[in-house]
Amino acid sequence: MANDSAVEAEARFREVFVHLPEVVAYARRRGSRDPEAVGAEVLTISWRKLAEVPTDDPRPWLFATARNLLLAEWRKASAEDGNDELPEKPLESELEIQILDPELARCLRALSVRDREALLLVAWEDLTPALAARSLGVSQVAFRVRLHRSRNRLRRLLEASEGTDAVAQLEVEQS
Amino acid sequence: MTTDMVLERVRAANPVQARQADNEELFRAIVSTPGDPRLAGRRPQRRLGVPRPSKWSRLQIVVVVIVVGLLLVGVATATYVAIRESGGPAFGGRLTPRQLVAPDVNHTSYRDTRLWSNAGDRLNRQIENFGDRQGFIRALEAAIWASKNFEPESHSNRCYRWIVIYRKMLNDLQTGFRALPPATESKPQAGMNELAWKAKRANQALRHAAGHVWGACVREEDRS
Repeated sequence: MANDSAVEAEARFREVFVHLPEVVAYARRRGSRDPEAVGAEVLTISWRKLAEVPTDDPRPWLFATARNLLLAEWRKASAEDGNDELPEKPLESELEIQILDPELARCLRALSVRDREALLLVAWEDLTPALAARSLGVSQVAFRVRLHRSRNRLRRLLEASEGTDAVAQLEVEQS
Repeated sequence: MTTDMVLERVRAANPVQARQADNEELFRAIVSTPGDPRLAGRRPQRRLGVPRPSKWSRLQIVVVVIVVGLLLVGVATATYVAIRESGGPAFGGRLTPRQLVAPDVNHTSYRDTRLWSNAGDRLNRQIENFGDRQGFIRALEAAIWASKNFEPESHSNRCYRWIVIYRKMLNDLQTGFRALPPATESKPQAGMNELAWKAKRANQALRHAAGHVWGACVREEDRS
């Protein structure tokens, strides 16, 4: 009987494990120093907490776990770099974005962390708004509002890409 | 530039595409570690040596229980009907005023009707009948006063003594009956059956006492 439950758990974990490349890619896009290690750690955590992992689509849970690990990694790196003071709000900390388009990268960095994460979960991680909302732990309505706002802001930033003043102005507005 | 175009531009700038790779070794390494204990405890374990009955066995047990229950109900009903038809001991609604409050000596004011169609009504009726008894004793006292046999009011006077005994028995019984309703409301049928037996026994004692009263107090010429 115990063997049956072990086999069932393993079979279920297999369905979660197939998302490892997506988790590694998520960590790499967010500028992780060791995305493979983050991916392995996320999947190990999901194995230990398999009962909490959603059965329909585990990606929101996996990305949320990866986000927490990336923030821990970022805090550790900050401490090693001599910055002993941890940020008061870790979620607001700036994760490095790896991107091919420098102009787009500059505009994305001008967005708030929350707005940017909402946009990237849909655009890069290919999550539906419902799944992305689950990953961020917010309601679908709140997420759609946030997504709409971030898209509009990014559009304005890109339209004013020639003038970096507009970016600076928005950064001032957000701060 | 539309917002859709913005999203397409962001998608196109995706720096990393997820690449499928053979990670079987990592999978084996992870599953070799302890997993989530909550998943292991989901299915209740059955004790060894106590096999779970099959679906058909459980069905047979249910059928047997139902058949036995129906048989018991049938036997109980048949017994009840047989007792009623044979005129045996009366239970429930079969009690008549004459059974509970039998006619006292030469007292025929009780109606021989089936008064008690339900338990609560029966209880009320019995109390009313005790009221009739009070009327009887008042009539008896009037006859005794007329014959002067009630005096002197001392225990050396047989008439007086039996009047006191009769009245006390009546009052005790009446008090006892009035204390019963809270118990009989919750279980009316059981309570009323118990009440009926008590009343029947008390009635015999009362009738006996009434005979003594009659014999001791009422003169021969007043007994017509």
